[in-house]
Amino acid sequence: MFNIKEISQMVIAGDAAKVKELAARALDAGVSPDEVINDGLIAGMNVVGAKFKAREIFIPEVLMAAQALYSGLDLVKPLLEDSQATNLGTCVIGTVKGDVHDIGKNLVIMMLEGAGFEVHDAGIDVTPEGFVELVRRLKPKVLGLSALLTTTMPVMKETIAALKEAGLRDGVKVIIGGAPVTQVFADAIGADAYAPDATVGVDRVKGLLGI
Amino acid sequence: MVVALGIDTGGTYTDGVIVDLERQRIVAKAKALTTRADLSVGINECIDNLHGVNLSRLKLAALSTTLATNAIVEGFGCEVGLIMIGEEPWKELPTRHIRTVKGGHTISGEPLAPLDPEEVARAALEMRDQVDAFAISGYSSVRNPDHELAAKKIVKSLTGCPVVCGHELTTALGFHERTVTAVLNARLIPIVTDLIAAVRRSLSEKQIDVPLMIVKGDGSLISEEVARERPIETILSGPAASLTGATFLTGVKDGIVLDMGGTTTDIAVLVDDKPHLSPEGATVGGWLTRVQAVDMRTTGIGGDSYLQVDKARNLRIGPQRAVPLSVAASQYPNVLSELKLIQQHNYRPVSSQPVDFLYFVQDRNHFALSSEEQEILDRIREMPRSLYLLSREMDTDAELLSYKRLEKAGMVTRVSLTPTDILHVAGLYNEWNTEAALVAADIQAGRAGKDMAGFVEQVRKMIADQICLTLLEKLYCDETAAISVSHCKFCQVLLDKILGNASGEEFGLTLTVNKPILGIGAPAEAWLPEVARTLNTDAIIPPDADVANAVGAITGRVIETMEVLVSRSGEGGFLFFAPWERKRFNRLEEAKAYGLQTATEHVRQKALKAGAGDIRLTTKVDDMFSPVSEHESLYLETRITVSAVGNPKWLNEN
Repeated sequence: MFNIKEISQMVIAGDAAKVKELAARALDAGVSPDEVINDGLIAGMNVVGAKFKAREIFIPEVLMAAQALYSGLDLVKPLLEDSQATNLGTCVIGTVKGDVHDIGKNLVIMMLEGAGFEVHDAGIDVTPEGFVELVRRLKPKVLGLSALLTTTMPVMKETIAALKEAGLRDGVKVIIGGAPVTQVFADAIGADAYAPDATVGVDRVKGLLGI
Repeated sequence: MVVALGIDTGGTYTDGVIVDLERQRIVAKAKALTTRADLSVGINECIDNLHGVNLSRLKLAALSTTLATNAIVEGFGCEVGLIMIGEEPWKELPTRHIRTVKGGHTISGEPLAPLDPEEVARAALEMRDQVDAFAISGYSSVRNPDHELAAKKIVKSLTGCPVVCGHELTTALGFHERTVTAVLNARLIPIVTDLIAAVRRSLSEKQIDVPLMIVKGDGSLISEEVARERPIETILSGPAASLTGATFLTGVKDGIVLDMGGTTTDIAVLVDDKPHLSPEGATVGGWLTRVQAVDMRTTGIGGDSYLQVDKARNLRIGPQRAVPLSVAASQYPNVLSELKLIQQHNYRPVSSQPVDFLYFVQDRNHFALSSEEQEILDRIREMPRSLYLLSREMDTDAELLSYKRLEKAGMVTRVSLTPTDILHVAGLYNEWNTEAALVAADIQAGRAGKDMAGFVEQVRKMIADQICLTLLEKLYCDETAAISVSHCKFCQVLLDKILGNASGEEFGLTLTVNKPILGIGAPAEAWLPEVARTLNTDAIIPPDADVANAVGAITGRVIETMEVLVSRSGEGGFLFFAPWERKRFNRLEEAKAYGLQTATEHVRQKALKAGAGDIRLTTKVDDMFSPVSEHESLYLETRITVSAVGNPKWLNEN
C-alpha cells in the first residue's frame, strides 16, 4: 500500500527529485492520477501556503516547494488529460508594464494550476494592449494583474480602461495583487477582486467564478 | 410678457403649448394627431389649434421629437461611410460601408501605428459615391483625438459630406459603442436637418420668426445648429421632456414620473430636480450608444393599447396600438352603425377581434399589392371599415382577408377597443363618441363572459397592475442590481398579495413607495390614482398633465457637461486627456490647472453654441488616491467635470 502522504511531505520539503520518484511509484502502485495530484501534490502545497501565510516559511521555500509540485505535475498531468482533465476555467496572469517582478505572479500561477485552472502566463512588463490581445484571443474567465511597484500600479487602472475600450471588460473578472496593492486600490480602479497572497488568490478566483 | 411655444411630437399625438415664462403659467394648449409620414403636417395643425394667442409675441420655440428615435428603430436615415482607425469591427454596425485603416492609439494615447493620409483618402473616395455622410472612429480616440481629426480633415476636403468623429460625441471608453454612436449620428443628420427645416417652414407660414431649440435625451435644450451637428443627442427626448414638464407643472423635485401616452407608459425617477441618467448610455433599436439619456422603464400600455379577448376568454392589453373606436366614431358615423350590426349578428371571429376595423394611413410607393389588398385599400380610403362588413362585401371570410401585410407596411392601422374607450364606458371621459365605446365594450364583455361592469373592472385592474409592476421593477432595479422576478414563484406570490390578487385570508401584504408619483400624459388622470393607492403613496396630477411633454420642451434649460481626465503617465509625469487634445505635464498642479481652465472654456463655448444665456458654471475636481501604506498614498488620477447651465439666451433679450 502506497502512502500518499509521503508525496505531500516531499512537496513541503521542496525535494523535486523525490517527489517525481514517489509520484511514479504511486502510479505504478495503482493510485489514480487524480489522487496523486489532489491528495499528494496539492495537499502538500496547501500546507506550504498555510505555512507561508503564518510566516513559518518564506518565499524561497515556497518556490522550492512549487518546483517540487511541478516535477510531480509534469509526470502525472499527461495521464490526467487522457482521463478527465478537470479544467475549472482559463486564467491569464501577468505582471503589468514597467514591472519585471515575477516571483509572486509565478506563485499564483502554480497555485491556480494546482487547483485545477488552466493558466496562461502572460509574462512580465505586459502593456494594457498586450493584456487586451490575450483576453480577446484566449477568452479567459479571469485576468490576474500583478504589480510590485507603486509606480506601476496605475498601469492596472489603465489595463482595466483598455479592456473597457475593447469591449471586453464585462466578459472577464479582473483580480489584482502585489505587495503595495490593497483592497481600497482594487475598489478605486474597479477591479473585481484583490488578493494579498497566492493562497487567498485561489480562493478569490474560485469565489469570482462561483466555484 | 415672455411667451414661448413648446411642441412635442409623440407616437400618437403632437402637443403644443404656449407658456408665459415670467408668470410660469400656461397660456394655451392644443393637440393634433402625429403625422408620421411628415411630422410638420401634425405640427402645423397643432399650432393652428392654439387659439386665442398672439403668436407674434413669441420669443422662442422648442421641440421634443421622437423622430430620431423612430428613425433608428425603423432603420431609416442616410447611407453612412464609416472609417475605422486601428481596429476591424468586432460586432455588427449600423452601416454596410466600412473601411479600416491603420492607426489608432493605446489607452495612454500613444499611436499604435501612424495614420496614413493616403489610405484614408482612398477609403473616402471608394465610398464617396455610395454615401451621404461619413463617420470616423479611432481606437482609443477619447485618449488622443489626433487621428480622428486628421482623417476628418481629409474626408471633408475630398467629399464635402458631413463628417462626424467618435470623440466629438462622447468622452466615454468603449470603441464599439462610440463607433455605433458616430454612425447613427451621421445617419440622422439629413433627417433631423429636414425636420428642422420643415418646422421652420411651419413657423414662418404662421409668421412666427423665433429661434428654435431641440430637446436632448437628458431633457436639456440645444440650438438647432447644434442639433443638426449632433442629432443623436435628441434620441429619447420625449420622456426627458416629460420629466422637465412634470417638475415645472408640479413644483416637485423628488418623485417618480409616470408618463402615460397613447402607445406606452414611461417611468423615470427624479432626484433633486435631476433625472437619473442611464450609466452606460441610451439603447435605441437594439443599439447601445454612448448618448446620455434618462434612465427609464417602459411598458407597452397606453391609452391606445389594443385590447383583445382571446378564445379562452383571457384579456390581453397591448403592446400593439389601435385607434380607439370612440375616436374613430366621432369622425366617421359608419363606425357606430357597423358596431351595432356586429352586436346584432353576434359575430365571433377566431384570429381577430369582432370589433376590429381597418383604417387607411397612407399609400406606399414600390409596394406590389395583390388585387385583394388593392381592393381593401380602396374600400377603406374614405372611412374605416369593420373586418366583418369588409369581408362580407368582398365575399370572403374575415379569417382569410389579406390585410396583415398592409398593416406591417404601415399602410393601414387597426381601430379597436382600447383603454381610452373603456374610460368613456366608465364615464370618466366624454371627449369622443361614448356610444360607440359602449357598444364595443358590450360585445367584448360578452366574449369575455362578463357583464359590462365586470369587464370594465377587469380591464382597469389589469392596466393598474401592469403599471404597478413596471414601476416596482424600475424601483428595485435602481436600488439593487437588475434582477428578474418573473421566474421566482415566491416573488409572484408576494406581488399578487401586494396587488390584492391573491386568494387566502391568512396574511396580506402592503408596500410603501417613498416618493410621490407625478402623473402626466392624457390618460394618467384616469389610471394613476388606483396605482398610487396600491403603492401607498401620493398621486400628483397637475392640471395640464396632458401636455406636460410640450411644457417640458419649452421650460428646459441648456446644460452642457464635460468630463476630462488627468492621469499619471507610465513614463513619468502626467497626462491630460480631453476631446480636443492630449497634453503631457511634468507637474500635477500644472496639469490640473490647465485642464480645469481649458475644460471650463470649452464647456462655456459649447453652452453658448447650444443657445445658453446667463451661463452658470460649476466645476468638480475629484482626485483619486489609493493608500498603499499607513503613511503613503498613491495618486491615480483626477477627473474634472465642468457643467454649464443657462436659460435659452433668447429669453433674456428684449
